[in-house]
Amino acid sequence: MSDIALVKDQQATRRSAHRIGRLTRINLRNGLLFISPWIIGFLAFQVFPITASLYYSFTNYTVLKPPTFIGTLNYVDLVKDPLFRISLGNTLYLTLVGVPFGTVIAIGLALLLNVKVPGQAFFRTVFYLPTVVPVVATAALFLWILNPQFGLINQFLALFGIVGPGWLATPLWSKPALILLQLWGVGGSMVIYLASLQDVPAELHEAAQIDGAGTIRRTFSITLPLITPVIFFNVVIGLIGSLQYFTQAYIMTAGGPANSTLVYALYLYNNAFEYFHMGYASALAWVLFIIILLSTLLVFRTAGRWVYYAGQ
Amino acid sequence: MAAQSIPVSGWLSSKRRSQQVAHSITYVLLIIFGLTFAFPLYWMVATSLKTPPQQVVVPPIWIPHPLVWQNYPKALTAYPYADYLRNTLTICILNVVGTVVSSSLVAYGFSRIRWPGRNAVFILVLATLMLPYQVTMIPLFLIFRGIGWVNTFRPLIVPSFFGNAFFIFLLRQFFMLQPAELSDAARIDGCTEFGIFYRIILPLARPALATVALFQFMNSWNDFLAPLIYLNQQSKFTLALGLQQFVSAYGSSWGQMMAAAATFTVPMILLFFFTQRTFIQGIALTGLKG
Amino acid sequence: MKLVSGETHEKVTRRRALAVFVSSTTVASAAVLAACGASPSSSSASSASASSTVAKASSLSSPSSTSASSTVAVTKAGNVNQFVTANPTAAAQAAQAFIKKGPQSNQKAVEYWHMWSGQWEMVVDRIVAWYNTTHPGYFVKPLVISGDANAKFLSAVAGGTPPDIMTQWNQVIPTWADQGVLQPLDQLVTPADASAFKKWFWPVAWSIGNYKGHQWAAPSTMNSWALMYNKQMFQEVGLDPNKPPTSIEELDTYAAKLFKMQSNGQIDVAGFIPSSIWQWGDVFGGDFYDESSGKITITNPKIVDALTWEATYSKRYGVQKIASFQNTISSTIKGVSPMAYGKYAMAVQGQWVNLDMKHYGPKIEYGAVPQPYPPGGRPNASWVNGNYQIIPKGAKQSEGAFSFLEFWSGFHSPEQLATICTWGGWIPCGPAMTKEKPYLDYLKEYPNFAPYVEIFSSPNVRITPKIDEQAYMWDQVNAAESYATQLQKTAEAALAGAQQLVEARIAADQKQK
Repeated sequence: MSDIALVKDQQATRRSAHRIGRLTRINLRNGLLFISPWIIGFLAFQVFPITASLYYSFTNYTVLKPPTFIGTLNYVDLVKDPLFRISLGNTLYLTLVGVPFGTVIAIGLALLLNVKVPGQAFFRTVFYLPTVVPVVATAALFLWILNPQFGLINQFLALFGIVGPGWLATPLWSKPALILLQLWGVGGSMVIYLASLQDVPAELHEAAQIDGAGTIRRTFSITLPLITPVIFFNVVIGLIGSLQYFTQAYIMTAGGPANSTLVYALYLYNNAFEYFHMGYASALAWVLFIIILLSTLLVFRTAGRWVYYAGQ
Repeated sequence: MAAQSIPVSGWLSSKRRSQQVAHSITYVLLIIFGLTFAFPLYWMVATSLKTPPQQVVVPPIWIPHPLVWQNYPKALTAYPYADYLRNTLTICILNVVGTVVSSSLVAYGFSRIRWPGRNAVFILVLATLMLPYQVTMIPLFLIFRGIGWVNTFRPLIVPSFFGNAFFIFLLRQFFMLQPAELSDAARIDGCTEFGIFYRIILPLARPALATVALFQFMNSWNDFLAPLIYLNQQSKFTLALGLQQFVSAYGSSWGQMMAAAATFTVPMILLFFFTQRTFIQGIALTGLKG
Repeated sequence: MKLVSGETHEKVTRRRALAVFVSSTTVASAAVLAACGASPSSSSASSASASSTVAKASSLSSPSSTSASSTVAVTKAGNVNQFVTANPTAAAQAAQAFIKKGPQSNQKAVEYWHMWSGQWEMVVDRIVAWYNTTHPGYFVKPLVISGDANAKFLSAVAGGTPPDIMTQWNQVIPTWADQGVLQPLDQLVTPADASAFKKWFWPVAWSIGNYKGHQWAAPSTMNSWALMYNKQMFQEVGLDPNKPPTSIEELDTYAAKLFKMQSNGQIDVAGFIPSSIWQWGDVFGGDFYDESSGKITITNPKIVDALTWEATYSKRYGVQKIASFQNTISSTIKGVSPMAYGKYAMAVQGQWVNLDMKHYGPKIEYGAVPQPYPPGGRPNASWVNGNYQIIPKGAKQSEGAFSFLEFWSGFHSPEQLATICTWGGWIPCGPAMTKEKPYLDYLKEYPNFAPYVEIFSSPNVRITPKIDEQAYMWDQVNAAESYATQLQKTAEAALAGAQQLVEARIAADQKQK
């Protein structure tokens, strides 16, 4: 957890532990007061579901009947389950390729949209649009765009003499197709970047401009470092979200063709609500939880090297 | 946008000229990407205005001709749009209020006050995002069932008043962008912690708060599963449920489906268009000289 | 709704038979829609027969209603007309208004969940209103569950508040029965009716709801499949339009003649593309499960033959071309059968496609016959499924639920169900209904409907194996088909993979219990 803030924090905590000063007590009281809504909500609405699902993972539970304890059997089955491996592989593919692409594109668009040009409001809306359009409509559209024969993308590729792939219809290209579809939805994180760009002081840019730094140079040495906390946020959230990726695969491909889009959360969902194996689904969920937690902590660990907090 | 005044004699200065070139490039890029991103919406609206034969032509017709509006009356009357809209807005607005108030308070506690154990608790907050909802959905239902809240809006509204991990994390990051000196100075002036939160940090974080409000509104607007599970009376249904029903019922007509999707989407687009200014206002507040 | 690209479309279609049945049977043609207020099947048969139906309806009393209530029913006969004989839109509006009023103080409310929305909801509303008027002791309150019905049902069961009755796909029956959430219907039926109740249904329809010696669900309507072929296209290529293929060999030769390619080599009209190993496994003479020994037999050599044969189409016409063709179809005509748009020369289709043909392809002359079969295969074979009513344990009003279930099954009221089936374009759950006048009139209107109905008398109809792991097995067999037709694995290897997975899952389940 050596996100800079956290490291400094630990140091601060250690220092204050020696003093056990009045200030620490006041801060503790204030801190707890501020986060008290979350604590209450956590105790009221989250502790039970979380512990219940953990318990279910050690039971044979169909939801239809009370669970019966079976020890670690679900986890043992899971290790032997080929579909567990296939679905985890599919999800990791989408995450490792999709998250970096999504991050770069979202930042790029936010930077573009932060340049004051006529129609800025209009463009901001336009780039946000795909996230607003209901998934049933986007799914339908993508059948057109990704159509192997006359879809926009393959027609575009044909201009360069490239024969486009079968996209969603072939096991090899179905995952790249889903990633493309995801990229359409970067509007959400783009808006967050846009908001953070408003906090980059213009004075810094003006000063650097006087020193002769060009746009690209200023972007990399002023803008990006200053918004690293928000980049950090988006990467972590992107990771958490991508490892739980579900909706489009559920609606558009239902896991096919040849299990190539059977993503982890879809397999989990099938177990819970189609096969009525909530116990097994819970075990899958907790394994995913551990995977997400470890990868998040990994990102936190690297954060000290690249995330800059002005507020610390 | 008046912000960009085309200089009358400015092209003489090389700095201005290079700026203009940069702007032109930006513009071209914006238009190219913009077309790509506007496409889903365009397609949705275009299809909703096509006659059934036009919808099935291969390769597709990009511009419908003639325009037909017949799909819209159907989409608006197939379910009680006005009633569902009222229900949806009730839920959305209360959720936005609840989330913005609670998440900003909690985020402040996690970003601008140092207290022992803060990190561990914060990781716990994040961890609540990491467990797939598919396995916590039913135990959560049991809680609300136990307190007799099923078939009311309460399970859809009340939790938002206790902070949402995603927004807490988001606001925490934004609060950390603000220089520490701001708080220190205020503390020296004898400002209470709540005073710093309310008078200094919140106003500075307005773009972030606007983002949170927008996202929460959209989440509640699109939420389909929770209303499906908790509501047992058609008179309490939301637009997302209505759209889902419409989509499964009028499955054979792309035109009608897209018209329904459009009537579902348009309010969101208008909301975004008129609120996106908030993201710009941040500049004025940080004291930038125009 | 599920929107599925290309190849997977069929699979999901079958899996969500009810949902897709609902969406693909959309009767309202473009023209009707334009006229607004469209509603399913404005078949003239229903109105023609309605007066006699109503007379009978009012004189009938269900086993659970007292003689006193049946006299009330007579006095309310006038009310019934507005839901039955009126034009579909007016009838649906009247039914909706009637349902909205809610139960009277002396009526017992019956909570009914189903998954028909939109114009299908209108049909269900009419059925419910019809029942409510003729069975005044109860008041059925319908609720549409669109989307994730299982999530809603599971939550409700876990919370101890299930509905009194629900329409479900048959896939869930074994698991739910095993888990003890269903009430056995044989305990609800009066002893006098017990044996008659069983005989009421097609044997296969009855058997779907029968599991481990009890009856857990009763069907209302069924689905079956047959080979449809376009007679005009037959003529164009010099085939006799009155001699559809009867063997696999003929099917292949005809198909080769009937494929039409575009100038760029892509498929324009598919002569025939096999899909659904559940159909072809049966047709080739294979069974996926041996009920007597309880063994999974996915690797049955006949099923391997069937899948190997399916894959020959991928080799001959190209995986990508077929995928591209199917993708194009699902992104254009959505829900309506490509038969109706002249995109299939021959195809295995469900009975609802007859309605698509009438409303979307009225000029196409077509025929429907049982699926062709190879030497050693099965004549008159079809995999079938249906829409089933279940009564959960913990239902507060199980008697009322059962009474409504009987009405939905046409038990004691065959003519009513016959009429209802003409509203929805459905195959009734038992033979008696097909002999009622409203249905006979309907079959005259749709001559190609007959083979679909007749096949229910055949010994070669099959259902998805009734095992606890039914849904899992369904997915794995479909995935195996996908591997083979994508030419990723040989048919043998793909099916062996599915067999292994299903066996492992069953073993794991056994260990857990």
